[in-house]
Amino acid sequence: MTTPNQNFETPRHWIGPDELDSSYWSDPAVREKRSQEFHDKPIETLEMIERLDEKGLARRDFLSIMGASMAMASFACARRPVHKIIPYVVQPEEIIPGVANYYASTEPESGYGILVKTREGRPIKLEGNPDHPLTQGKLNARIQASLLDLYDPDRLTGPMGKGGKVLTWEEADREIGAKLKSGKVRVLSKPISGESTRKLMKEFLAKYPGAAWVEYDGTCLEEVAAGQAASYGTACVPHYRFGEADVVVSIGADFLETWPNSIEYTIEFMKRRRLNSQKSASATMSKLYCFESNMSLTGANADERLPIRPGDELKIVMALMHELSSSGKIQAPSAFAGVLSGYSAKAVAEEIGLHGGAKKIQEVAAKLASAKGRGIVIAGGSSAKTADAVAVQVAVNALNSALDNEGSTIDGTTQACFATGDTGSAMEKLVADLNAGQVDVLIVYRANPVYQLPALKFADAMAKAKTSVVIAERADETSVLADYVLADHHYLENWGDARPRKDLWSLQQPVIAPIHSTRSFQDTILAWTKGNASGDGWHQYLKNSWKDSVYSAYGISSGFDAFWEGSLRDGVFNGYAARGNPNPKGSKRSFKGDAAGKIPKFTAAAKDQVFLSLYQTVAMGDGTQANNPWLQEMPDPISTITWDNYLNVGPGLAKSLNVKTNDVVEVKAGDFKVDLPVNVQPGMHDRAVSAAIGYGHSVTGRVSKNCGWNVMGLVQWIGGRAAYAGVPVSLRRTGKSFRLAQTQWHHASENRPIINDITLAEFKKDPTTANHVDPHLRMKEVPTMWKRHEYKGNRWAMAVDLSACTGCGACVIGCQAENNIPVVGRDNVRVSREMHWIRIDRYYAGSPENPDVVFQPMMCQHCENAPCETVCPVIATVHGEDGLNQQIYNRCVGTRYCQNNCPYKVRRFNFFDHWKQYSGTMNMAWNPDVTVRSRGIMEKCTFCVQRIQEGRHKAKDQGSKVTDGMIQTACQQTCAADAIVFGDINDPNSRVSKMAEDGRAFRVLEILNTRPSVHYLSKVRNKEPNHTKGSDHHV
Amino acid sequence: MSKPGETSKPAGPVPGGVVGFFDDAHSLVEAVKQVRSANKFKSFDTYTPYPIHGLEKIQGLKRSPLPYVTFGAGITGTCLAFLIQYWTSVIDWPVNIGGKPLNSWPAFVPVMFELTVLLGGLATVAAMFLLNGLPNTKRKAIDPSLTRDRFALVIDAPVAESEASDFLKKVGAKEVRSFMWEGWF
Amino acid sequence: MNSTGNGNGGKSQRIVLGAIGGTLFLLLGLYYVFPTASNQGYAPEQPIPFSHKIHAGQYKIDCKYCHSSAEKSYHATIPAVSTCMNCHSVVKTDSPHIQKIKKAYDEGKAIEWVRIHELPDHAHFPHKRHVAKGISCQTCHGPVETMDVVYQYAPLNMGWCLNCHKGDSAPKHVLKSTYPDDKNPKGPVASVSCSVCHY
Repeated sequence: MTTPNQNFETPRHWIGPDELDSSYWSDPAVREKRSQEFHDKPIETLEMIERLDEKGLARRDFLSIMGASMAMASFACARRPVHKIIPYVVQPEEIIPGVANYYASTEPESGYGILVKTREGRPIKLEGNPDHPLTQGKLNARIQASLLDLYDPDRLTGPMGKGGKVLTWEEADREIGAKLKSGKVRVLSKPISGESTRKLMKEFLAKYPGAAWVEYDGTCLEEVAAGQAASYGTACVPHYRFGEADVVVSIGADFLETWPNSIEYTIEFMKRRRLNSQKSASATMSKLYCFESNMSLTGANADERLPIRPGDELKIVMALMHELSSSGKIQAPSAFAGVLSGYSAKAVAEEIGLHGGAKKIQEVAAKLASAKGRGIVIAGGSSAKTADAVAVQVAVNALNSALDNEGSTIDGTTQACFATGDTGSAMEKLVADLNAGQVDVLIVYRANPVYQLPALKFADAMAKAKTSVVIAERADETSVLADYVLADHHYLENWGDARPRKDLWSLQQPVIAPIHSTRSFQDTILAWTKGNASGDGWHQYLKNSWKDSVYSAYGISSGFDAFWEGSLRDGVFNGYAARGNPNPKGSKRSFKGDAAGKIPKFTAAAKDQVFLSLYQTVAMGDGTQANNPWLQEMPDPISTITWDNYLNVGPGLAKSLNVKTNDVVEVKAGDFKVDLPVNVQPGMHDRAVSAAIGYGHSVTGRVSKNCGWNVMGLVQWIGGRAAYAGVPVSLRRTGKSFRLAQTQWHHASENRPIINDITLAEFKKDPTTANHVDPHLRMKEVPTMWKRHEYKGNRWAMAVDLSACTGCGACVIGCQAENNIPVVGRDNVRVSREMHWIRIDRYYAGSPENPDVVFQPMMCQHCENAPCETVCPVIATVHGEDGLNQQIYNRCVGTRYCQNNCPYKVRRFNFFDHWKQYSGTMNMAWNPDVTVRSRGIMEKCTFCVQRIQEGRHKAKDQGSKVTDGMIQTACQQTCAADAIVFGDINDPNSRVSKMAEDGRAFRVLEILNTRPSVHYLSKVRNKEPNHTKGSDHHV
Repeated sequence: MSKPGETSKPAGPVPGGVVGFFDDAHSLVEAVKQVRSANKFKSFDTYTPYPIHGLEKIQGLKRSPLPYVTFGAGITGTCLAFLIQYWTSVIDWPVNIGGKPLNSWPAFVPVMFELTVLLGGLATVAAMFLLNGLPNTKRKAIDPSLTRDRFALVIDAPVAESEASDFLKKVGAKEVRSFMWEGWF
Repeated sequence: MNSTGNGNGGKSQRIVLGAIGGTLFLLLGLYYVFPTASNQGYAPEQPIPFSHKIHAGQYKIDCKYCHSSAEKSYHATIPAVSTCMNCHSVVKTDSPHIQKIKKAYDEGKAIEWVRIHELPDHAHFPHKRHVAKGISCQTCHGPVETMDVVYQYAPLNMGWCLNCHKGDSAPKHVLKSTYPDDKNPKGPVASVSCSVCHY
């Protein structure tokens, strides 16, 4: 034990709660570890080297082969091996080898419009479709990674019978067709919005009179839809106009990330948070309050976040309603009168143990009242799917209606999503039918009920169907029990459409010929409906469907072919724009008075009971992409853990349970128990824990095997719905430990001047506050020993607005897809060898019980005085005349001195030939414009130099100069919050120049005189200054 | 081998002169003084096991040009190194490394030093060889004990053998004989 | 040794000096004869003995008729079989080689040519930029229109590329267009920054 340092100053920004304890900093073991370049001694990696020796070449043999090849290569007459160059037989006229073609398509489940970059007939990168209202040119991490799912070697390659017996499509059709004749068919799928598919399904159901179609997915927002139906009469997920909201109160709703339509919500939300230092005195920002049981991305970005237990959501909403109605600000619906009095702010705050107490609820209520018609109260989503979730929704709807938000910022009519699928009762009926032997053929399409809802005992029910058919992209827990598994196209290989809003028609087209012998679900249904098994069936059907539903319905004047080609080119038909207003507001609906009957009286939860919520992570979502290595290795923005799920436990609860991070704890609810490693997560309520769904698969592929633990057994089926949150659990230390692959300690800041955040009030008074508070943060003139190089022409720089960055990690995956960045696996991540060129550093500020969170994307800073360039013994890294720090792979010999010298720790070294693990079809995912690095090569962010080259070529081809915005780095292009801006800083009118001159701008570790080319704009938070312990002098 | 019709020195023994062996340094030095003052012999040389202070002056040896060679080569090395580095870094292939100026002369210093030492050393060795008439495989050693444990004064050929040997005996040589540079003897 | 030295080492000294000189001469000679480990002169046998001498030389077909991607892309590609069939569906159809082409076209099998000009993956060479600058194909590929069998004319190593980029061996018209005001232009005609090609 060491004595606390008398001069210890609590760091203003910390990574883990340990850093707040002075004894941590003086602990010699910790000091030794932190003085190392990496947090693990290389000795641990000898195991890995030995494992490599077992599989591949032993070092001895390697050296001898090297020696022989060296000797042979020294013969001057030695030639390279014979290479072939093989052209087309008939070159398609739209393909120029070396030039990319872009096609617009749609991801059908989310309805996101995408732009697919293809090279020589195969897609290599996805971007958002700039013309599509839902993406507006941006994407999130999961859609970016879905490209790799296309090339997944574990995909199903063709139709299979029981036990994996390979069939032909004719055989499958014949056998299944025979069984369908009885008519007692059930189709289970996720909610499908595509109108053409729905039309086709209607025909299918008409053909088989006893058939029924259940659209259900446990993770969909069914409680929102049910709440809307109860409150306003129609089931829908409303469209929230965040761009017009001054106050947003989220109760467990992660609308910035795991909600559907999160990309547009991020874009809109950030519109209300852009700050211009020149107009700081009159700056306004929206205010986001977040009450949640699990630290989500939305909560991390909230101005004020308040941890609650899962199950407390209703209390918060009712308390707000109580406050507002008792202060006369709103008229609560009369039906609430019976229960409202029990939900006083005082009672609720005390029972929950809310930070800030009743005053906080009153403050939130007052804020909402001051923004009538310009506020949003939103609730729902996996981690808030409590047993009383529908009641929460009804209360929220009542609140929004009373606050006049309904019809103003909340649109439940014009732009709402009505394709919400069926409720849980439909699922119950399906299981009941199955158990009663009423089902002859069960067809499951892209749903995984065996995994997702063990509470329904679907596996047993499925066995009772005479024939079960699963149509899926890869094997899963449901398909291994099926009689027939029919391989479906990946969405990039298929035609289709999506209708995320009533008048928004999104078109999906294939961008690659089917790689395997798969057949689209719709072609399968066509075959079983019309006996038509020809390949062009679904394409023609889609065209015909659009002719009726879109072309005729909107009275398009041009010929149909022109309309169809135009729609394919745009990827979307915006019916709202066709009707005159591309972004119409909804009309106000009236709240049904009797809906309030669902609200129960206030009941206090058991005081010492720990409640669990199950949530979706940013990377995994509901787990359908569990076999995607990019997503498995993506560090969770909050916990920075890769490859596994874990139990989030707050510092208080961790202390009372006597557990630390990596200790394994048994979580038990009813009969089900599962062991999970602990992650001590600041910001969790003392009686709340959470765990992520989507892990613990065993049959979906080699990547997802042994990743995490299956916690779906903790989902309870209550009142006809799946309850993911509010489950009472008991926790028990097992004494085991599991080392989570967590990246947060790999780049510890040591309280150096890296990041700062200020409040809106401080910003209004003086936008440069952050730079004064930490004088080291901004040193405009650091003395220099010599004359600086001149950079004439283009000089590339980047500016990152930390106020905009939500930490979603889309940039991480976008960069990985664009730059052929390999995946290294859990063991390598444990020893800090992850290869991401851009990482999201997450810092906390304040107390561990309720901290503020700041995200900082960190990539190569392209320093003018780069410390890495100076120490390379072979001049493999130099500074270009355009300001780029260039990494020349062929010169690099792997000294790693540059990585050692980089103060930002952004250089990544290829310790192994990771590219070799891209087996089979995965090799089609490489971007041919970017060199694939082998073992022994250093790599780092290049500011997407291949895109810079492309942009310069384009400008030269046109005979013009490069304009601002013409060249976008991959991270910039996919960032929904528009936090990353790249451009020419020698151009005074470019966005990046203006941002660099902003009062909030600073550069990281400027005191080192590295002169980075990346400028960061301090985060501004719309809250009162937080007096944290020990750091008063900063404020 | 000489061609027919060509006149050349006949291959055969080449007389070297007369050598006189002394017992100690002092007597050698005295002998040298005597030889110098007598001024009778065109060239002579001494062989000692260890350097004898002041003998070069007494003997009248001229200063070796070797230091000048070393110096000249060293300066050449310094300038050459600087020029190579300057030309490559500033003129031919300027590369911006870490914002450092192109003419980073402090960084040039180690190479300049090394090349100074290298060229100086190599030139010294080469000059030493050449000045010593090396390589020369034909020359015979005068006596195996020379520069080991005996002092000697050699009067070079051409010289009248008897005159030289008498003189040497007179100045104190304990043993006197004539020797050949080349050929069997 | 305190020796006046007479510098006459005799025959042996001359032999040694002669040997050193001879070795140096030999090495210089070898360097001249074997300049670099490049593929210069590589003239492999192709599956179909296509003669540029006939097509480009005698019939003066433009390079870009077949290698059409050269002005639009990084890669100047080998033409597809259909390009050959543009003429050879009717021209010289009795030749066995043409019949091979027709067979490939009918069967849908591409012809596997042996690649001659190849740069390693870490060097990205944009044909379209050089074509746009007005540099003739022959500058780098040599007098292809005289080749019955194509051989690699230039060493294609980095030094050779740099010679032109730095202006030393650049074609006159490129120098003139880069320095229009200079009577005797000598400077670089293109960037020699590393990541222009290596990224």
